[in-house]
Amino acid sequence: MITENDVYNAISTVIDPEVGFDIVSLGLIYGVKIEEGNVHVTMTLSTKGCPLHELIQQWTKDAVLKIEGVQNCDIEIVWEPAWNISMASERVKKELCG
Amino acid sequence: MKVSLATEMAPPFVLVAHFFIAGIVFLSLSGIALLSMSSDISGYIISSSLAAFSHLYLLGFVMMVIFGAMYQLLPVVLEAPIFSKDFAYVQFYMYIVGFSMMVSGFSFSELHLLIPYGAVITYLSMLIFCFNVFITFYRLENITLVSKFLLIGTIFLFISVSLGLLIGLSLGHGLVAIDIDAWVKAHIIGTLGGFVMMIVMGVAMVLIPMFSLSHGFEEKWIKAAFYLQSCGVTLCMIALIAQLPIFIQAIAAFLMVSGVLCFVVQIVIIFKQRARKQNDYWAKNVIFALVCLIASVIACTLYFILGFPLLGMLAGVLFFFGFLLSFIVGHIYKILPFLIWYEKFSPLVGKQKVPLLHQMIHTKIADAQTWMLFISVIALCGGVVLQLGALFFLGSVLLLISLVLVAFNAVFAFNYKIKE
Repeated sequence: MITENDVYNAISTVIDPEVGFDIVSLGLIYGVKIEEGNVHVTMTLSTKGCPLHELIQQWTKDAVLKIEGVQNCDIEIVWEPAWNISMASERVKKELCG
Repeated sequence: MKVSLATEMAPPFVLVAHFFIAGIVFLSLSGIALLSMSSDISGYIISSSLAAFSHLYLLGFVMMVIFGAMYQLLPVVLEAPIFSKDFAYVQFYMYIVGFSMMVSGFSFSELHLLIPYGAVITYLSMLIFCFNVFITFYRLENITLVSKFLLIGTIFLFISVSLGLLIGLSLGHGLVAIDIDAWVKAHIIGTLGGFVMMIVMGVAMVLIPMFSLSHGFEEKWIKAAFYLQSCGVTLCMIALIAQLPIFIQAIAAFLMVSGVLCFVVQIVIIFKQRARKQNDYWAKNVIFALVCLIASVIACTLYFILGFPLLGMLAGVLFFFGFLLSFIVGHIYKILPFLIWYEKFSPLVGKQKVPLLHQMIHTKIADAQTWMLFISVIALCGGVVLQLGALFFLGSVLLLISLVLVAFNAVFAFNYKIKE
């Protein structure tokens, strides 16, 4: 049985190399749906012009597919609501904002 | 909306790296050329040593980095691949040959006749760039504000280099009867105010919010900057070439100054709302660049009103080294590690520990370089204002050392290896 927690834990191995935090802590993951072996991840990026746009999607997909029992993973990028720092974890906020 | 994982939109990183590496090499060479310029600080605008240096610096460094940044950003900003990567490679090599001939012609009187031939080759290479960009835009359905900056900037490039070619032909063979002084000024305004500033403004609106993690800011100032700057540059170029009354040039100058100031206000607003508060070498460079841009605008305005040549020279030093160099070097520290990281380390993600981008820069060297650049700009400005060749030379030496440190960090990033 795959849980949301499994998926979030897997995605939290994906690090944004520019800011140095994982994309779950950054608050980029908006939602996870699990239907048997199919996982649907709704996420955003910190900026629309991010040159790592496609790579981050691919890394997220690869991380989820590593979970035992996951057969398929869809990544949906959305821009609404737009990401802002309030969506990040307290640790990220503290380290970024000082 | 679902987004495919296709990589066809991805920026051509190896291509971009060509331009960035060549840009850093030519930047170092222009630093050496600067050492021989301490006798030219009175500010006469058309001297061969100033022409040699300015073309080496502008064509070799500034333009190279801008071309590279355009090839990286266009696919991201436009959400469409560039029309032809092959054209971009052809442009790169033609450009190097052409501008090397031009700079040689400016530097050595016995090679003076190379200038028009170099100008033609450089011109053709820039036409290839313009064509590549225009066709990329032609296939678009929606054009954003950033895209407008890039498009209008490229149109100014096309017009300005066309003027440059005519100037080159006139100087070499007297083929075209023109007022050289007015046309050179129009060429400079079109290139710096039209192409360079428009591209910097557009690129800044992508890179500065991205690196500072700034969101939710109003964009009315940058919209105003777009219209003021593009109208001001257009009017100024027409006024110079058509020899319109001086008050028309004054109106154009006012529009351009207003445009630049609106841009500065916009960046200040973005900075105020940034989530990343640390003032690293990138942030320091951007802030210093903006301060120098304002100072350059003030010096340029005073030059326009008072007509003292040294004010023109001061404006140039502040714009070239205080603004452009700080702005570009600050972003090189962000973009170059990313390009190298993408090629070397991104395939290893998920398989082994990979470095963060800032780890690929030697922080202490970058900090030292940043402060040295700031001090060198102050020394260069002091040398111009006080008309002290020795102080200007000292500033040139410090600048050269700071450029060597930039090159060191570029090599450091290229050679970065994952620690076992």
